[in-house]
Amino acid sequence: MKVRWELLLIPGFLITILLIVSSQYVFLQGSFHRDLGLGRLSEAMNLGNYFKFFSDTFYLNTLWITIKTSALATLSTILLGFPVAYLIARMRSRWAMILLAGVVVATFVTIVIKVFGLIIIFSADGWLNRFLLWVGFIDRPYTIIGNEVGVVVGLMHFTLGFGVLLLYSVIQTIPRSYEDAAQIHGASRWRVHWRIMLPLSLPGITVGALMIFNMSMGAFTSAALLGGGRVFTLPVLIQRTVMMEIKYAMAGTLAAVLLVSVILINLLSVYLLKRLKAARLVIA
Amino acid sequence: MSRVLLTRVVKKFGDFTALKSLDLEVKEGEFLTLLGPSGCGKTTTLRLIAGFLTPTSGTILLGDEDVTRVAPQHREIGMVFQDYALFPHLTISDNIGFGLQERGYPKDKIRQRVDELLDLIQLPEVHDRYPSEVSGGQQQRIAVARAVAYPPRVMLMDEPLGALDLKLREAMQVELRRIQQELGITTVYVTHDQTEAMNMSDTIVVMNLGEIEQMGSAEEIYNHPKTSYVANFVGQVNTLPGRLLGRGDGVVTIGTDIGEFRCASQGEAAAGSAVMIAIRPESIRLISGASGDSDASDGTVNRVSGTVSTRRFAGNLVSILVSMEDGSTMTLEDHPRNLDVQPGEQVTLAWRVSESTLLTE
Repeated sequence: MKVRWELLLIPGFLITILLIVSSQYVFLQGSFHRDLGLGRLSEAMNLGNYFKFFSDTFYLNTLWITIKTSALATLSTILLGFPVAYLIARMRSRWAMILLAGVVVATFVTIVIKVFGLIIIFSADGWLNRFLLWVGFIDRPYTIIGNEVGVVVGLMHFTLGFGVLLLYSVIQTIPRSYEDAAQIHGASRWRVHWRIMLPLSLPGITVGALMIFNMSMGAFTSAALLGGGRVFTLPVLIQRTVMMEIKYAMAGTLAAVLLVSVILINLLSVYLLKRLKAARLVIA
Repeated sequence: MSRVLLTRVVKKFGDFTALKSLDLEVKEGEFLTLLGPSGCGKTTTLRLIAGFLTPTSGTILLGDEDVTRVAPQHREIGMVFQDYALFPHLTISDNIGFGLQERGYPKDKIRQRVDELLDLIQLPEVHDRYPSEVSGGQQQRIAVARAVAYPPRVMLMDEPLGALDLKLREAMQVELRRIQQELGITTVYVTHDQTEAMNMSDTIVVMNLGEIEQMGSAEEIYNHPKTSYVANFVGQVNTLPGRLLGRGDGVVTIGTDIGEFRCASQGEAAAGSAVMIAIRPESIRLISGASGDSDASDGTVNRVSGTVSTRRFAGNLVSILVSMEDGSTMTLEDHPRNLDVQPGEQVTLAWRVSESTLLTE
């Protein structure tokens, strides 16, 4: 008798769908009610929370800060991650595997521990400030904890390992002989990257950047800890709205806005990439 | 166009020595092939000339310029890669014009040169197509056009025909040779395929373990191999180990387990030293019966008798394996009508003294 292994997919599939759909349904549905205080919701449905969101500069600013810090973190991760990924991908020695293993291990250390590491280094009386004060580079402590720079650094720390892994797999698919061919026919190292590596890796970089951006948009721990209660991104604000203010409907609205903005930004990026492909500026 | 001159070039990778003091000259306009098995140092040599590797010691000259430490992009070299390495996101025109663009040629000049080259490789209608839209053989020719677009001082080819099937490979050998001669470009070609090397080259350099074993024209290498390595690598060969007994006028006598033979030799092997006689399978003729006697015994022909053990028919020729009295075997090849014998038959083999070669190792 033929065993129908594909039936084994069903339980996992059902649980995944159930958990995703039901939670999304609950907060989306909740966002159309009004908070009556102490976690109670009104019977009537309306768009009041959405009007509130889009008419209140505090909320709009939160959305803007979330997108801005995520975009900056994504950009920095790609810019910092590319050289690392490139070197590892092009390395011939067994060091390549050791370095890659190091990146993987560092990536899967829980973000809480990594963020506390950052706080130890960057806090007002941390190593970095003590060193900079001692050298005389600054005359009073500068800290990134509790401002947007800190949030960007925290998000970067969270995503850099993933970035390196994603970019490594992209670069590895580009034969080294393309670089050799470009160089021997007159291109400098810089021109090789500009004319060959960039166009050939752009689709992969875009996909990687979107994943990093999405991770950043939803990141709570690094934003909360390095924001120090002074920088509000949407995930931080959602947590606060649920836990401190107990406004489930408003929290649902914030979550819906976050979800929809992420989806829109992803669709826009995919559209732009398609346009580039159609113009043969990059290839898939 | 320039000559290429490598002087005492050594290349080490960590503890591994890929090239042991290589001296090599490629003359202007010459088609030179580096032939050898993988790991013999032929690709390392090519990458050193290209500038992708820097020698551990020694110098590399292009023309009269010392380019030992010059970056690849400043060497004015064209190169064809094993996988062609055509840029998949650029049109065929842009691929061919790549070297010209990078060197700041004006657009109309580039277009004119690309047209010229597409005519040369006989693919005039493919300007705006992409490499993935043409066949393997066409990609090959486009890669050659890209390599010669900015007239290179030397063209390097790294097993460029390896990915093609046999028929196409043979056609491309002719085609590559035609383009090379039409442009008169100094060319260094790397392959492990001896037929390819013999079909195309002015000079063949047989390499082994990071050293040159022998250098010469295809005929020299084939007819007068100096070492058993070369004799075995380039074509098939029968080798008879023995001891040098005496030396005459360009001819030596060698004692082996199956008799004494005379052999042509210009070498300086001393009497008593261990040597080997090399005889190509097609140099041996068959005299049926144990003592056929059509050749006069004037000492210009060697003879030995044995028993046919197998016969293999390959269409245009037949090869038979003959067992000697000491158990060793010799292979001979000839037109089917000259080898009309069956396994078990007693035969006499004969070959001209001038068609055998003395090997010293």
